[in-house]
Amino acid sequence: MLVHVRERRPRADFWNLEREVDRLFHNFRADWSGGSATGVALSPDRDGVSIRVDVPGVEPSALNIAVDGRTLKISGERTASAREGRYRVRERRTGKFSHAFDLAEDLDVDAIDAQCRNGVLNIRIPKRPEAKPRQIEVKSN
Amino acid sequence: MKTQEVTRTDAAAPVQYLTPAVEIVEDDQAVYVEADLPGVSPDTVEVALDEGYLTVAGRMSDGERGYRRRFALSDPSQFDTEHISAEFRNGVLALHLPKTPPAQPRQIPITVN
Repeated sequence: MLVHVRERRPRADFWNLEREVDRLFHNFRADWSGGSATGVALSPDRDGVSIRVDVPGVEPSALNIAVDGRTLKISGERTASAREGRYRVRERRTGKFSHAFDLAEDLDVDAIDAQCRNGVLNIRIPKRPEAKPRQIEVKSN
Repeated sequence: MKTQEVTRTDAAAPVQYLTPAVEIVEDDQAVYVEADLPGVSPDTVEVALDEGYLTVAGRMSDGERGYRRRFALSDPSQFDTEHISAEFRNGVLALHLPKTPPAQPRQIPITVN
C-alpha cells in the first residue's frame, strides 16, 4: 500500500492527564480508561489525503498549521480550566500539542485546505494533478 | 474511550456512542461540567436531568456515531434544576448546575415580660 502521509511520533510529554473521581458523581462507565488516542485520523483516497484532528476547546484562531518543506505541522494549545473549586472528575487533556506529518511527493502542498468546526480540524491535501489517476481514451480506427 | 451500541427506535441504523472525556468542578454555588464532544453537530446536543441522572449526548454529522455519558447524582435535590444552563462551543459542552441556596435561618422573636 502506498502511504501518502506518515505521522511522526506525537509529542505526548506536553499532555497532562489527571483523573480524580469523587463520590459526588458516579460514572456509568467507570472503567473509562482515558485512552491514548490523540484523536487523529488519516484517510488516504484516490485523489489525496484527509486528516482529521480532534481539537475540542481550542479556538480555531489558536491553531497553527504550517508547511515546512514536505512536513505538515499542526500545533496549538488547550488551556486548562481556570476554575476554582473542588475537582471531582478531571479527564480532559490540556496543554500544548503538536503533530507532524511527512507528506509524500505526489501530494500538492500548495493546495492544502484546512477547516475547523465544532472542535474538529479537517485538513484536505489533494494529490498533484499529474499524480491523480487518469483515464486514457482508447482510440480505434 | 469505550464504545457501546445503542439502537435508536427512531432511526434506521444504530448509533455507535463513544464516551466523552469530562471535567467536573464543584464550588459552593454550583457544579460545572464540561464534556468534550468534538465533531458533534450542535443541533443534536442533548442534556437531560431525570430522576437523579444527568445525561449528555450528541451525534456527529454522519448520523452514525456520537458521544453519550450518564452520571448518577448522589443528591439531586441540592440542584436548582430550573436554572441549569448549557453552552456548546468548539466541540465542548459546558453545563452550569446551580445549587439551591440553603434555607435562611429563621429568627425567632423573644418576648420578655
